[in-house]
Amino acid sequence: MKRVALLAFFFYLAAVGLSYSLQTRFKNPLRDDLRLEPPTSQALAYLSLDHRGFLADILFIRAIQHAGSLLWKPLNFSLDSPWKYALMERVTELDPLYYNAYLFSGMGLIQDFDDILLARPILERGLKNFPESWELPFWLGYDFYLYQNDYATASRYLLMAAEKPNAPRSFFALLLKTLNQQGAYHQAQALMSKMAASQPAGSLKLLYEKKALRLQHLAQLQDAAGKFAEREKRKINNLDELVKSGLLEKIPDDPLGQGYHWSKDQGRVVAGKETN
Amino acid sequence: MRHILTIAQTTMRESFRDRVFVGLLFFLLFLLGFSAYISTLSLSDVARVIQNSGMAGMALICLLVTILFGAFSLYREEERQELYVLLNRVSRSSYLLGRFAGTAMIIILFSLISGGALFLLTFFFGGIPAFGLAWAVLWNICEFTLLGGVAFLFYAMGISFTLNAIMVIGIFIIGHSMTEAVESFIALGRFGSPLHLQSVKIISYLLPNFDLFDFRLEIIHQQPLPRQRVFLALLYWLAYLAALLTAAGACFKSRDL
Repeated sequence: MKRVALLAFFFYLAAVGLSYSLQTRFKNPLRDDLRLEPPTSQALAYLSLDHRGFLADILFIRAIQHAGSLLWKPLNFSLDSPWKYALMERVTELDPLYYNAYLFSGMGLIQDFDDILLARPILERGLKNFPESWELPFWLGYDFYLYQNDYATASRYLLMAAEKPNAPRSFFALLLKTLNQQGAYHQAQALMSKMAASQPAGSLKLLYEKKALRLQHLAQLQDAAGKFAEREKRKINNLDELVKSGLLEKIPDDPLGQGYHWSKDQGRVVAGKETN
Repeated sequence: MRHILTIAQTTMRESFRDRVFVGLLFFLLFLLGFSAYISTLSLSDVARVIQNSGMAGMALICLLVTILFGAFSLYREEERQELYVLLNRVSRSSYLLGRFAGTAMIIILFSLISGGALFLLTFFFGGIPAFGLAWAVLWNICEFTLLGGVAFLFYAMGISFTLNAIMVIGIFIIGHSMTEAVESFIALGRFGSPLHLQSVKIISYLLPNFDLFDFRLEIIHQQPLPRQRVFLALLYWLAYLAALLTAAGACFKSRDL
Protein backbone atom coordinates (compact mmCIF):
# COMPACT_ATOMS: atom_id res chain seq x y z
CA MET A 1 0.00 0.00 0.00
CA LYS A 2 2.86 2.35 0.91
CA ARG A 3 4.68 1.57 -2.32
CA VAL A 4 1.57 2.29 -4.39
CA ALA A 5 0.99 5.57 -2.55
CA LEU A 6 4.64 6.54 -3.14
CA LEU A 7 4.35 5.67 -6.82
CA ALA A 8 1.19 7.77 -7.10
CA PHE A 9 3.01 10.65 -5.41
CA PHE A 10 5.94 10.47 -7.84
CA PHE A 11 3.61 10.38 -10.82
CA TYR A 12 1.90 13.46 -9.40
CA LEU A 13 5.23 15.27 -8.94
CA ALA A 14 6.11 14.45 -12.52
CA ALA A 15 2.80 15.86 -13.71
CA VAL A 16 3.34 19.07 -11.68
CA GLY A 17 6.84 19.44 -13.10
CA LEU A 18 5.60 18.95 -16.65
CA SER A 19 2.85 21.49 -16.08
CA TYR A 20 5.41 24.04 -14.85
CA SER A 21 7.66 23.37 -17.82
CA LEU A 22 4.84 23.66 -20.34
CA GLN A 23 3.57 26.90 -18.85
CA THR A 24 6.99 28.55 -18.76
CA ARG A 25 8.07 27.41 -22.25
CA PHE A 26 4.80 27.91 -24.08
CA LYS A 27 3.33 31.03 -22.54
CA ASN A 28 -0.27 31.86 -23.44
CA PRO A 29 -0.44 34.91 -25.70
CA LEU A 30 -2.00 37.99 -24.11
CA ARG A 31 -5.56 38.24 -25.37
CA ASP A 32 -8.12 40.97 -25.23
CA ASP A 33 -10.84 40.72 -22.58
CA LEU A 34 -13.82 38.62 -23.55
CA ARG A 35 -16.46 41.32 -23.66
CA LEU A 36 -19.96 39.98 -24.03
CA GLU A 37 -22.83 42.41 -24.38
CA PRO A 38 -24.31 42.54 -20.85
CA PRO A 39 -27.89 41.23 -20.72
CA THR A 40 -30.73 43.66 -20.03
CA SER A 41 -31.35 44.65 -16.41
CA GLN A 42 -34.54 42.62 -16.40
CA ALA A 43 -32.70 39.49 -17.55
CA LEU A 44 -30.03 40.10 -14.91
CA ALA A 45 -32.69 40.50 -12.23
CA TYR A 46 -34.05 37.07 -13.24
CA LEU A 47 -30.57 35.52 -13.31
CA SER A 48 -29.60 36.97 -9.94
CA LEU A 49 -32.30 34.91 -8.11
CA ASP A 50 -32.75 37.82 -5.69
CA HIS A 51 -29.00 38.23 -5.14
CA ARG A 52 -28.98 41.53 -7.02
CA GLY A 53 -26.34 43.04 -4.76
CA PHE A 54 -23.97 40.13 -5.39
CA LEU A 55 -24.45 40.29 -9.16
CA ALA A 56 -23.93 44.07 -9.06
CA ASP A 57 -20.64 43.49 -7.19
CA ILE A 58 -19.43 40.95 -9.75
CA LEU A 59 -20.22 43.26 -12.67
CA PHE A 60 -18.57 46.20 -10.88
CA ILE A 61 -15.40 44.17 -10.25
CA ARG A 62 -15.39 43.23 -13.94
CA ALA A 63 -15.55 46.90 -14.92
CA ILE A 64 -12.77 47.79 -12.45
CA GLN A 65 -10.52 45.05 -13.81
CA HIS A 66 -11.10 46.16 -17.40
CA ALA A 67 -10.33 49.77 -16.52
CA GLY A 68 -7.29 48.74 -14.46
CA SER A 69 -5.88 46.59 -17.27
CA LEU A 70 -4.81 49.84 -18.94
CA LEU A 71 -1.99 49.97 -16.39
CA TRP A 72 -0.35 46.75 -17.49
CA LYS A 73 -1.58 45.72 -20.92
CA PRO A 74 0.27 46.75 -24.08
CA LEU A 75 -1.03 49.78 -25.92
CA ASN A 76 -2.55 47.76 -28.75
CA PHE A 77 -5.29 46.69 -26.33
CA SER A 78 -7.89 49.39 -26.18
CA LEU A 79 -10.44 50.11 -23.51
CA ASP A 80 -14.03 49.59 -24.50
CA SER A 81 -15.88 52.59 -23.09
CA PRO A 82 -19.44 51.72 -24.26
CA TRP A 83 -19.04 48.22 -22.82
CA LYS A 84 -17.67 49.32 -19.44
CA TYR A 85 -20.39 51.94 -19.07
CA ALA A 86 -23.05 49.44 -20.09
CA LEU A 87 -21.78 47.29 -17.21
CA MET A 88 -21.96 50.24 -14.79
CA GLU A 89 -25.49 50.99 -15.95
CA ARG A 90 -26.50 47.43 -15.09
CA VAL A 91 -24.74 47.71 -11.72
CA THR A 92 -26.67 50.84 -10.76
CA GLU A 93 -29.94 49.41 -12.04
CA LEU A 94 -29.49 46.20 -10.03
CA ASP A 95 -28.63 48.19 -6.90
CA PRO A 96 -29.78 51.82 -7.21
CA LEU A 97 -28.28 52.68 -3.82
CA TYR A 98 -24.75 51.59 -4.71
CA TYR A 99 -23.13 54.99 -4.17
CA ASN A 100 -19.55 53.99 -4.99
CA ALA A 101 -20.68 52.69 -8.38
CA TYR A 102 -22.00 56.14 -9.34
CA LEU A 103 -18.88 57.79 -8.00
CA PHE A 104 -16.57 55.44 -9.86
CA SER A 105 -18.48 56.02 -13.12
CA GLY A 106 -17.63 59.71 -12.97
CA MET A 107 -14.22 59.41 -11.39
CA GLY A 108 -11.97 56.37 -11.86
CA LEU A 109 -13.65 55.05 -14.99
CA ILE A 110 -13.17 58.25 -17.02
CA GLN A 111 -10.26 57.45 -19.31
CA ASP A 112 -11.30 58.96 -22.62
CA PHE A 113 -12.55 62.46 -23.47
CA ASP A 114 -16.04 61.32 -24.38
CA ASP A 115 -16.46 58.97 -21.42
CA ILE A 116 -18.26 61.69 -19.49
CA LEU A 117 -21.04 61.63 -22.10
CA LEU A 118 -21.54 57.92 -21.33
CA ALA A 119 -21.22 58.49 -17.58
CA ARG A 120 -23.70 61.34 -17.50
CA PRO A 121 -26.98 59.34 -17.51
CA ILE A 122 -25.61 57.08 -14.75
CA LEU A 123 -24.55 60.01 -12.59
CA GLU A 124 -27.86 61.82 -13.23
CA ARG A 125 -29.63 58.75 -11.85
CA GLY A 126 -27.27 58.92 -8.89
CA LEU A 127 -28.26 62.54 -8.31
CA LYS A 128 -31.90 61.44 -7.96
CA ASN A 129 -31.05 58.65 -5.50
CA PHE A 130 -28.57 60.72 -3.50
CA PRO A 131 -29.94 64.28 -3.55
CA GLU A 132 -27.69 65.38 -0.66
CA SER A 133 -24.43 64.29 -2.30
CA TRP A 134 -22.10 67.07 -3.45
CA GLU A 135 -19.58 64.65 -4.95
CA LEU A 136 -21.76 63.40 -7.81
CA PRO A 137 -22.59 66.83 -9.29
CA PHE A 138 -18.99 67.92 -8.60
CA TRP A 139 -17.54 65.11 -10.72
CA LEU A 140 -20.06 65.79 -13.47
CA GLY A 141 -19.02 69.44 -13.50
CA TYR A 142 -15.30 68.74 -13.26
CA ASP A 143 -15.41 66.16 -16.08
CA PHE A 144 -17.36 68.46 -18.40
CA TYR A 145 -14.87 71.24 -17.64
CA LEU A 146 -11.78 69.14 -18.14
CA TYR A 147 -12.73 66.80 -20.96
CA GLN A 148 -15.36 68.67 -22.94
CA ASN A 149 -14.45 72.34 -22.27
CA ASP A 150 -18.21 72.75 -21.82
CA TYR A 151 -18.13 75.57 -19.25
CA ALA A 152 -21.88 76.13 -19.27
CA THR A 153 -22.69 72.51 -18.33
CA ALA A 154 -19.73 72.39 -15.96
CA SER A 155 -20.82 75.49 -14.09
CA ARG A 156 -24.40 74.21 -13.85
CA TYR A 157 -23.28 71.04 -12.09
CA LEU A 158 -20.61 72.74 -9.99
CA LEU A 159 -23.21 75.25 -8.78
CA MET A 160 -25.50 72.34 -7.90
CA ALA A 161 -22.63 70.81 -5.92
CA ALA A 162 -21.82 74.09 -4.17
CA GLU A 163 -25.39 74.35 -2.90
CA LYS A 164 -25.36 70.93 -1.24
CA PRO A 165 -24.84 70.69 2.54
CA ASN A 166 -21.26 69.89 3.58
CA ALA A 167 -19.89 70.88 0.18
CA PRO A 168 -16.23 71.84 0.70
CA ARG A 169 -15.13 75.27 -0.47
CA SER A 170 -12.03 73.91 -2.16
CA PHE A 171 -13.72 73.59 -5.56
CA PHE A 172 -15.29 77.07 -5.48
CA ALA A 173 -12.26 78.42 -7.35
CA LEU A 174 -12.97 75.97 -10.18
CA LEU A 175 -16.63 77.00 -10.15
CA LEU A 176 -15.68 80.66 -10.35
CA LYS A 177 -13.39 79.92 -13.28
CA THR A 178 -16.15 78.15 -15.22
CA LEU A 179 -18.60 80.95 -14.48
CA ASN A 180 -16.06 83.54 -15.59
CA GLN A 181 -15.20 81.66 -18.75
CA GLN A 182 -18.79 81.56 -19.90
CA GLY A 183 -19.49 85.10 -18.82
CA ALA A 184 -21.96 84.26 -16.02
CA TYR A 185 -20.78 87.24 -13.99
CA HIS A 186 -23.90 87.62 -11.83
CA GLN A 187 -23.61 84.10 -10.47
CA ALA A 188 -19.85 84.47 -10.09
CA GLN A 189 -20.34 87.71 -8.16
CA ALA A 190 -22.92 86.11 -5.83
CA LEU A 191 -20.54 83.23 -5.11
CA MET A 192 -17.58 85.55 -4.59
CA SER A 193 -19.58 87.70 -2.17
CA LYS A 194 -20.55 84.58 -0.21
CA MET A 195 -16.90 83.55 -0.03
CA ALA A 196 -15.91 87.05 1.11
CA ALA A 197 -18.61 87.09 3.80
CA SER A 198 -17.42 83.79 5.24
CA GLN A 199 -13.79 84.93 5.57
CA PRO A 200 -12.49 86.43 8.81
CA ALA A 201 -11.24 90.02 8.57
CA GLY A 202 -7.88 90.18 6.87
CA SER A 203 -6.12 90.51 3.53
CA LEU A 204 -7.89 87.48 2.00
CA LYS A 205 -11.31 88.94 2.85
CA LEU A 206 -10.26 92.23 1.27
CA LEU A 207 -9.09 90.45 -1.87
CA TYR A 208 -12.35 88.50 -2.16
CA GLU A 209 -14.34 91.73 -1.72
CA LYS A 210 -12.37 93.37 -4.50
CA LYS A 211 -12.92 90.39 -6.78
CA ALA A 212 -16.64 90.46 -6.00
CA LEU A 213 -16.73 94.15 -6.90
CA ARG A 214 -14.87 93.45 -10.14
CA LEU A 215 -17.39 90.75 -11.01
CA GLN A 216 -20.21 93.16 -10.22
CA HIS A 217 -18.70 95.65 -12.69
CA LEU A 218 -18.27 92.94 -15.31
CA ALA A 219 -21.92 91.93 -14.88
CA GLN A 220 -23.00 95.54 -15.19
CA LEU A 221 -20.92 96.05 -18.34
CA GLN A 222 -22.12 92.76 -19.83
CA ASP A 223 -25.77 93.68 -19.23
CA ALA A 224 -25.22 97.07 -20.83
CA ALA A 225 -23.52 95.41 -23.84
CA GLY A 226 -26.53 93.13 -24.17
CA LYS A 227 -28.93 96.10 -24.17
CA PHE A 228 -26.74 97.84 -26.77
CA ALA A 229 -26.88 94.77 -29.03
CA GLU A 230 -30.68 94.60 -28.69
CA ARG A 231 -31.05 98.27 -29.52
CA GLU A 232 -28.41 98.70 -32.24
CA LYS A 233 -28.71 95.18 -33.68
CA ARG A 234 -24.92 94.79 -33.52
CA LYS A 235 -22.32 94.09 -30.87
CA ILE A 236 -20.14 96.83 -29.45
CA ASN A 237 -16.59 97.35 -30.72
CA ASN A 238 -15.32 98.74 -27.43
CA LEU A 239 -16.65 99.74 -24.02
CA ASP A 240 -16.62 103.47 -24.80
CA GLU A 241 -19.65 102.91 -27.04
CA LEU A 242 -21.67 102.05 -23.95
CA VAL A 243 -20.93 105.49 -22.44
CA LYS A 244 -21.53 107.31 -25.75
CA SER A 245 -24.90 105.55 -26.22
CA GLY A 246 -25.97 106.67 -22.76
CA LEU A 247 -26.34 103.18 -21.33
CA LEU A 248 -23.63 103.89 -18.75
CA GLU A 249 -22.42 107.06 -17.08
CA LYS A 250 -18.84 105.88 -17.07
CA ILE A 251 -16.73 102.74 -17.25
CA PRO A 252 -16.24 101.65 -13.61
CA ASP A 253 -12.71 101.43 -12.20
CA ASP A 254 -11.37 97.92 -11.74
CA PRO A 255 -10.60 97.47 -7.99
CA LEU A 256 -7.67 95.26 -8.98
CA GLY A 257 -6.26 97.91 -11.30
CA GLN A 258 -6.30 95.99 -14.61
CA GLY A 259 -9.32 97.59 -16.25
CA TYR A 260 -11.94 96.07 -18.53
CA HIS A 261 -12.26 95.66 -22.26
CA TRP A 262 -14.55 94.08 -24.84
CA SER A 263 -13.16 90.82 -26.24
CA LYS A 264 -14.27 90.31 -29.83
CA ASP A 265 -13.07 86.68 -29.81
CA GLN A 266 -15.07 85.74 -26.75
CA GLY A 267 -17.95 88.10 -27.46
CA ARG A 268 -18.06 89.49 -23.90
CA VAL A 269 -16.54 91.91 -21.43
CA VAL A 270 -13.39 90.66 -19.76
CA ALA A 271 -11.00 92.05 -17.18
CA GLY A 272 -7.46 92.99 -18.09
CA LYS A 273 -5.79 95.08 -20.76
CA GLU A 274 -6.75 94.58 -24.38
CA THR A 275 -4.02 92.82 -26.43
CA ASN A 276 -3.76 93.63 -30.13
CA MET B 1 -44.37 14.98 20.57
CA ARG B 2 -41.70 12.83 22.23
CA HIS B 3 -41.40 10.72 19.07
CA ILE B 4 -41.03 13.78 16.91
CA LEU B 5 -38.19 15.13 19.10
CA THR B 6 -36.45 11.76 19.22
CA ILE B 7 -36.59 11.35 15.47
CA ALA B 8 -35.37 14.95 15.04
CA GLN B 9 -32.41 14.28 17.34
CA THR B 10 -31.61 11.05 15.53
CA THR B 11 -31.75 12.85 12.19
CA MET B 12 -29.28 15.43 13.45
CA ARG B 13 -26.91 12.80 14.88
CA GLU B 14 -27.00 10.89 11.62
CA SER B 15 -26.23 14.05 9.71
CA PHE B 16 -23.23 14.89 11.92
CA ARG B 17 -21.82 11.41 11.26
CA ASP B 18 -22.39 11.70 7.51
CA ARG B 19 -19.33 12.54 5.40
CA VAL B 20 -21.49 14.91 3.38
CA PHE B 21 -21.79 17.09 6.49
CA VAL B 22 -18.01 17.48 6.68
CA GLY B 23 -17.88 18.03 2.93
CA LEU B 24 -20.44 20.80 3.18
CA LEU B 25 -18.51 22.42 6.03
CA PHE B 26 -15.38 22.45 3.87
CA PHE B 27 -17.40 23.83 0.98
CA LEU B 28 -18.72 26.56 3.28
CA LEU B 29 -15.16 27.36 4.31
CA PHE B 30 -14.16 27.59 0.68
CA LEU B 31 -17.09 29.92 -0.07
CA LEU B 32 -16.16 32.16 2.84
CA GLY B 33 -12.56 32.26 1.67
CA PHE B 34 -13.79 33.13 -1.80
CA SER B 35 -15.87 35.99 -0.35
CA ALA B 36 -12.84 37.36 1.47
CA TYR B 37 -10.67 37.04 -1.65
CA ILE B 38 -13.15 38.61 -4.05
CA SER B 39 -13.65 41.53 -1.69
CA THR B 40 -10.02 42.52 -2.28
CA LEU B 41 -10.84 43.11 -5.94
CA SER B 42 -13.38 45.77 -5.09
CA LEU B 43 -12.25 49.35 -4.73
CA SER B 44 -13.18 50.05 -1.14
CA ASP B 45 -16.38 48.10 -0.68
CA VAL B 46 -14.83 45.17 1.20
CA ALA B 47 -17.65 44.84 3.74
CA ARG B 48 -20.34 45.02 1.09
CA VAL B 49 -18.76 42.42 -1.19
CA ILE B 50 -18.15 40.02 1.71
CA GLN B 51 -21.78 40.32 2.80
CA ASN B 52 -23.19 39.96 -0.72
CA SER B 53 -21.05 37.00 -1.74
CA GLY B 54 -21.45 35.48 1.72
CA MET B 55 -25.25 35.62 1.52
CA ALA B 56 -25.13 34.02 -1.93
CA GLY B 57 -22.85 31.31 -0.52
CA MET B 58 -25.14 30.79 2.46
CA ALA B 59 -28.08 30.27 0.10
CA LEU B 60 -26.12 27.77 -2.00
CA ILE B 61 -25.06 25.77 1.05
CA CYS B 62 -28.59 25.65 2.45
CA LEU B 63 -29.94 24.55 -0.94
CA LEU B 64 -27.48 21.63 -0.87
CA VAL B 65 -28.43 20.87 2.75
CA THR B 66 -32.12 20.84 1.85
CA ILE B 67 -31.58 18.43 -1.02
CA LEU B 68 -28.86 16.22 0.52
CA PHE B 69 -29.96 16.10 4.14
CA GLY B 70 -33.62 16.81 3.64
CA ALA B 71 -34.67 14.87 0.59
CA PHE B 72 -31.87 12.37 0.01
CA SER B 73 -31.78 11.02 3.58
CA LEU B 74 -35.49 10.15 3.36
CA TYR B 75 -34.98 8.09 0.21
CA ARG B 76 -31.86 6.46 1.66
CA GLU B 77 -33.73 5.36 4.77
CA GLU B 78 -36.50 3.91 2.64
CA GLU B 79 -33.96 2.12 0.45
CA ARG B 80 -32.22 0.62 3.47
CA GLN B 81 -35.62 -0.62 4.68
CA GLU B 82 -35.02 1.15 8.00
CA LEU B 83 -38.19 3.12 7.43
CA TYR B 84 -40.49 0.14 7.95
CA VAL B 85 -38.93 -0.66 11.31
CA LEU B 86 -39.54 2.90 12.44
CA LEU B 87 -43.10 3.06 11.13
CA ASN B 88 -43.99 0.03 13.23
CA ARG B 89 -43.28 2.08 16.31
CA VAL B 90 -44.30 5.66 15.39
CA SER B 91 -47.06 7.17 13.33
CA ARG B 92 -46.27 8.25 9.80
CA SER B 93 -46.97 11.91 10.46
CA SER B 94 -44.74 11.88 13.57
CA TYR B 95 -41.96 10.32 11.51
CA LEU B 96 -42.29 12.94 8.78
CA LEU B 97 -42.49 15.83 11.24
CA GLY B 98 -39.52 14.48 13.17
CA ARG B 99 -37.41 14.17 10.02
CA PHE B 100 -38.46 17.66 8.97
CA ALA B 101 -37.55 19.09 12.37
CA GLY B 102 -34.13 17.43 12.17
CA THR B 103 -33.55 18.83 8.67
CA ALA B 104 -34.69 22.25 9.83
CA MET B 105 -32.16 22.10 12.69
CA ILE B 106 -29.36 21.35 10.19
CA ILE B 107 -30.49 24.30 8.03
CA ILE B 108 -30.53 26.53 11.12
CA LEU B 109 -27.09 25.28 12.13
CA PHE B 110 -25.52 25.97 8.73
CA SER B 111 -27.25 29.37 8.53
CA LEU B 112 -25.93 30.34 11.96
CA ILE B 113 -22.40 29.15 11.18
CA SER B 114 -22.42 31.05 7.86
CA GLY B 115 -23.92 34.16 9.43
CA GLY B 116 -21.46 34.14 12.31
CA ALA B 117 -18.48 33.63 10.03
CA LEU B 118 -19.69 36.39 7.71
CA PHE B 119 -20.09 38.73 10.65
CA LEU B 120 -16.50 38.07 11.73
CA LEU B 121 -15.13 38.44 8.19
CA THR B 122 -17.04 41.70 7.68
CA PHE B 123 -15.82 43.00 11.03
CA PHE B 124 -12.15 42.10 10.60
CA PHE B 125 -11.73 42.76 6.89
CA GLY B 126 -14.43 45.33 6.28
CA GLY B 127 -14.17 47.15 9.58
CA ILE B 128 -17.91 47.33 10.26
CA PRO B 129 -20.12 45.27 12.63
CA ALA B 130 -22.82 44.00 10.27
CA PHE B 131 -25.62 43.28 12.74
CA GLY B 132 -28.08 43.21 9.83
CA LEU B 133 -26.70 39.77 8.98
CA ALA B 134 -28.94 38.41 11.73
CA TRP B 135 -31.88 39.22 9.47
CA ALA B 136 -30.10 37.50 6.58
CA VAL B 137 -29.81 34.36 8.72
CA LEU B 138 -33.49 34.51 9.68
CA TRP B 139 -34.74 34.91 6.11
CA ASN B 140 -32.38 32.20 4.93
CA ILE B 141 -33.88 29.83 7.50
CA CYS B 142 -37.42 30.76 6.44
CA GLU B 143 -36.63 30.26 2.76
CA PHE B 144 -34.96 26.88 3.06
CA THR B 145 -37.25 25.36 5.65
CA LEU B 146 -40.08 26.25 3.27
CA LEU B 147 -38.16 24.67 0.40
CA GLY B 148 -37.53 21.65 2.64
CA GLY B 149 -41.28 21.41 3.19
CA VAL B 150 -41.75 21.28 -0.58
CA ALA B 151 -39.16 18.46 -0.82
CA PHE B 152 -40.95 16.54 1.93
CA LEU B 153 -44.30 16.95 0.18
CA PHE B 154 -42.84 15.57 -3.06
CA TYR B 155 -41.35 12.65 -1.10
CA ALA B 156 -44.68 11.95 0.58
CA MET B 157 -46.34 11.90 -2.84
CA GLY B 158 -43.97 9.09 -3.89
CA ILE B 159 -41.89 11.06 -6.39
CA SER B 160 -38.40 9.64 -7.07
CA PHE B 161 -35.35 11.38 -5.63
CA THR B 162 -33.98 12.65 -8.95
CA LEU B 163 -37.28 14.17 -9.98
CA ASN B 164 -37.76 15.53 -6.46
CA ALA B 165 -34.36 17.26 -6.56
CA ILE B 166 -35.01 18.72 -10.01
CA MET B 167 -38.44 19.99 -8.97
CA VAL B 168 -37.08 21.48 -5.75
CA ILE B 169 -34.43 23.38 -7.71
CA GLY B 170 -37.14 24.45 -10.16
CA ILE B 171 -39.34 25.73 -7.31
CA PHE B 172 -36.30 27.55 -5.90
CA ILE B 173 -35.69 29.32 -9.22
CA ILE B 174 -39.38 30.08 -9.84
CA GLY B 175 -39.79 31.30 -6.25
CA HIS B 176 -37.04 33.84 -6.81
CA SER B 177 -38.38 35.01 -10.17
CA MET B 178 -41.92 35.92 -9.13
CA THR B 179 -41.47 39.68 -8.86
CA GLU B 180 -39.65 39.95 -12.17
CA ALA B 181 -42.21 37.72 -13.89
CA VAL B 182 -45.15 39.76 -12.60
CA GLU B 183 -43.44 43.04 -13.51
CA SER B 184 -42.60 41.89 -17.03
CA PHE B 185 -46.11 40.56 -17.53
CA ILE B 186 -47.59 43.82 -16.29
CA ALA B 187 -46.03 45.44 -19.35
CA LEU B 188 -47.23 42.57 -21.54
CA GLY B 189 -50.69 42.81 -20.05
CA ARG B 190 -50.96 46.41 -21.19
CA PHE B 191 -50.34 45.45 -24.79
CA GLY B 192 -51.22 41.77 -24.84
CA SER B 193 -53.63 39.45 -23.15
CA PRO B 194 -54.74 40.41 -19.62
CA LEU B 195 -55.27 36.69 -19.12
CA HIS B 196 -51.48 36.21 -19.22
CA LEU B 197 -51.01 38.81 -16.51
CA GLN B 198 -53.69 37.30 -14.29
CA SER B 199 -52.27 33.80 -14.81
CA VAL B 200 -48.79 34.92 -13.75
CA LYS B 201 -50.20 36.74 -10.70
CA ILE B 202 -52.19 33.66 -9.65
CA ILE B 203 -49.09 31.47 -10.00
CA SER B 204 -47.13 33.92 -7.85
CA TYR B 205 -49.80 33.58 -5.12
CA LEU B 206 -50.05 29.80 -5.31
CA LEU B 207 -46.38 28.76 -5.54
CA PRO B 208 -43.84 29.54 -2.79
CA ASN B 209 -42.77 33.16 -3.30
CA PHE B 210 -39.25 33.58 -1.92
CA ASP B 211 -39.15 37.20 -3.08
CA LEU B 212 -41.20 37.96 0.03
CA PHE B 213 -38.11 37.08 2.11
CA ASP B 214 -35.75 39.20 -0.01
CA PHE B 215 -34.36 42.00 2.14
CA ARG B 216 -30.77 41.66 0.98
CA LEU B 217 -30.34 45.17 -0.42
CA GLU B 218 -31.83 46.68 2.75
CA ILE B 219 -29.39 44.61 4.83
CA ILE B 220 -26.42 45.70 2.72
CA HIS B 221 -27.38 49.37 2.93
CA GLN B 222 -28.14 49.04 6.68
CA GLN B 223 -31.69 50.25 6.20
CA PRO B 224 -34.40 49.36 8.74
CA LEU B 225 -36.78 46.62 7.60
CA PRO B 226 -40.45 47.67 7.43
CA ARG B 227 -42.15 46.04 10.41
CA GLN B 228 -45.45 45.30 8.74
CA ARG B 229 -43.77 43.61 5.80
CA VAL B 230 -41.56 41.56 8.14
CA PHE B 231 -44.55 40.44 10.21
CA LEU B 232 -46.60 39.47 7.15
CA ALA B 233 -43.66 37.62 5.58
CA LEU B 234 -43.20 35.58 8.77
CA LEU B 235 -46.92 34.86 8.89
CA TYR B 236 -46.80 33.76 5.24
CA TRP B 237 -43.89 31.44 6.03
CA LEU B 238 -45.75 29.89 8.96
CA ALA B 239 -49.00 29.39 7.04
CA TYR B 240 -47.36 27.97 3.90
CA LEU B 241 -45.11 25.63 5.89
CA ALA B 242 -48.07 24.39 7.93
CA ALA B 243 -49.97 23.74 4.68
CA LEU B 244 -47.01 21.86 3.15
CA LEU B 245 -46.40 19.66 6.20
CA THR B 246 -50.09 18.94 6.67
CA ALA B 247 -50.45 17.97 3.02
CA ALA B 248 -47.25 15.89 3.23
CA GLY B 249 -48.59 14.10 6.30
CA ALA B 250 -51.88 13.33 4.58
CA CYS B 251 -50.13 12.04 1.42
CA PHE B 252 -47.68 9.93 3.42
CA LYS B 253 -50.49 8.39 5.49
CA SER B 254 -52.38 7.24 2.44
CA ARG B 255 -49.27 6.15 0.52
CA ASP B 256 -48.76 2.47 -0.10
CA LEU B 257 -45.20 1.76 1.14
